[in-house]
Amino acid sequence: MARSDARLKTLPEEIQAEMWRLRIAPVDDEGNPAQPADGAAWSQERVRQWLEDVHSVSTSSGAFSEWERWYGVASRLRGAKDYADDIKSLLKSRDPKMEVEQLDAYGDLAFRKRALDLDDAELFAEMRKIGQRDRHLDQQKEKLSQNDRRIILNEKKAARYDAVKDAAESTDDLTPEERLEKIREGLKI
Amino acid sequence: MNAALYRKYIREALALASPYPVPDKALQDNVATLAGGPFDLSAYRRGMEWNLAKDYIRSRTNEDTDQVEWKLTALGEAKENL
Repeated sequence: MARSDARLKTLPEEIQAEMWRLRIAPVDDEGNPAQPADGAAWSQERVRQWLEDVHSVSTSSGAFSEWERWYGVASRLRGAKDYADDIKSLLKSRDPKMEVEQLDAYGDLAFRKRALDLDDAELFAEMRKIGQRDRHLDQQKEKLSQNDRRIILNEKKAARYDAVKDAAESTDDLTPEERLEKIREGLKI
Repeated sequence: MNAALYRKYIREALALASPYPVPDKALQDNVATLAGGPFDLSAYRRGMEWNLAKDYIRSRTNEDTDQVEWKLTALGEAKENL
């Protein structure tokens, strides 16, 4: 026999899931799933008795009530997490280049959808905001890449200018034709 | 209800949701469920302040929703895993 203060939260998940099912879903006298017309959820006292008979775990009414409150919150939040993880995996598989920040934003939204039971209007309004932010980020990236291209062009121009300048100011003993040839080389004409 | 229990329920709700942040209202609702009975807003607020002062929880404002959201810090995670 386990101690009476056995911590229900630390029981194996299968047992906790069974306790929860017996408390919330219609079952027959044996604890098998039943149609609502043919059964009812067991009382807390009956589930506690079942727990003691089948799993040798004795618990007080107060501890069981506390476990029920905890398990309700835990299963709702776990469900929301699983849903959000699935959405993130799906998005990642469809768009492997998606930024981590974007994935997290959609994951957080999916979590809130389940955890807060957002209605569709709220969900779409938030998705629109994330989409707008994504487009803004894409525009900023495009602007940065244009700037990069401009810098590269300017650097090339500066290199040519330096080559021409060197040729023009060279103190080498060059004939005017040779100097002109060097300038042409620098200008690549 | 003992204010210390609210501190614990706050961390417990955030640990159950981790790594996702929990909006202010959802956190309060979950803590109210965990606590059971009449909700003691004053004890809840003291519990939030205590966890903040201990650096067990932190908040951020979601720029898409303007809602305040809460998460456990690394220290808070460690405390919950003890």
